[in-house]
Amino acid sequence: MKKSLIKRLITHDYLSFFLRLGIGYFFIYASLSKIPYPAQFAEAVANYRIIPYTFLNAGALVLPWIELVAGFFLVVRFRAKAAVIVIALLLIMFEIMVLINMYRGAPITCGCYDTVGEPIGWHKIFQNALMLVGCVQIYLYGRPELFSKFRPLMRPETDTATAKF
Amino acid sequence: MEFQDRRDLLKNSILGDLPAEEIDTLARTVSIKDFGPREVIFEAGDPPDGFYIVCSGRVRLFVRLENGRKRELLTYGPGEYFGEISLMTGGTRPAGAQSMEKSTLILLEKQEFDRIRTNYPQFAQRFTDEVLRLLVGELDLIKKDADAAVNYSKVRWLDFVVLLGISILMAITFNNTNPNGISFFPDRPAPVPSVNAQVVMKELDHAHPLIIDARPSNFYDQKHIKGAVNMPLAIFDFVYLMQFSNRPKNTPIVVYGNTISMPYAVEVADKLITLGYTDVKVLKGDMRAWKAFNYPFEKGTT
Repeated sequence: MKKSLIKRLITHDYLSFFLRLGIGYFFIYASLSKIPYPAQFAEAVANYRIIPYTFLNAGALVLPWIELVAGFFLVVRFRAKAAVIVIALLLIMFEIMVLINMYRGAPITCGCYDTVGEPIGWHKIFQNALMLVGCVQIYLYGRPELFSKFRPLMRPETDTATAKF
Repeated sequence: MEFQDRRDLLKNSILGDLPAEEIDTLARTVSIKDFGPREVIFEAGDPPDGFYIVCSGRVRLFVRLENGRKRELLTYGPGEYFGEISLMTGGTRPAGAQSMEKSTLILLEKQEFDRIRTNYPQFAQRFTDEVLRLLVGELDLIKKDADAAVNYSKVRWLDFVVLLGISILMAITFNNTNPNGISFFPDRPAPVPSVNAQVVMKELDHAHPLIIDARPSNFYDQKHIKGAVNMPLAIFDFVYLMQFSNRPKNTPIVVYGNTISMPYAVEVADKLITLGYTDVKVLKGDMRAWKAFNYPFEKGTT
């Protein structure tokens, strides 16, 4: 049975490719503004009033690096499945933190890209949810690993010297 | 291709054991086909036209996957042959064939193939053996594909360890060299004497303590204890100049604003004590205690 057009689009290689680059780039970009100024980022995290003081600095120091390394792994397709899981977990964590503070009515900014950032709200929840859906697509339909020996598919009409199994 | 060449090719192929006169007959009846690079010889599902022997070049058998990509099954070089399965089963081609480079093939028509099989049972047996060999090869291929697919889709714990390990290592290394670096696990500021909300409320009438909200301004603007002055650490010096320069050092001061993430009140109180203020206390139970007694709040800037 022929797959429907929508299913073809959703499962398409190129969609995974662009999502991978997009989400990976987004996380790299978000991390770069935070890594040099950990104290300011710790302030932004403290505004969420969720992370205990003892772990605040450690979180503020390591979190941007996790974003950077996971984003980089995703872009270069190295350990991409693990990277996309980590990114999805981060997104879920952000969603929960934002929702809790929306419920509390906290007048805080996101702290996502810089220490000032935009105020939290439904648009942030929606943006993160979209990226989360993107992560699911990458996880399910992404191309094989960069250094994987798994090459079951010949590219259409191109590979004349495809490695045999 | 000359008759002699065809005969030599047939002699060197699987049909080489046929009697000389049969080889001669075949050399006259077979047709020679030339294919360019990547030219498809037949597709899966096509009715079988005959049996092919590779004279020169290289041919691969493939199946087309649902997404349009091709999966290579086997490749054949000079002297090797393919296309006999569908002739034997009577069905259509189970796989497609494609020339990988410029190739010349001998095509033995279906009738000729059937005649050989009927007249020379040893060839029938040989083809059957060949089909079985292919089948075993296919099983091996399926197993390899399945293993590779399982391995590919597997996410190992090690992957997470690598990712988090690199992140932590980089964080430590960068923080050590970063002029803006901070301590991973900061020491809690020394505790400051605390005071009950009820006591503060009572003192408001006669001692007139100064109430300081140590939280960031956005929280203060949203809601604060009535009459409190906002003095977050970020603008401490500015507020100090504006509000404290003329106050005696024994002014009673009550600071509040601790959160789970930041002991804002303790930090500000510490700083005031360092500056010489002798009666600095932190509000016990913070804003929750104030709220529990239904004491007044207000909103807006200082």
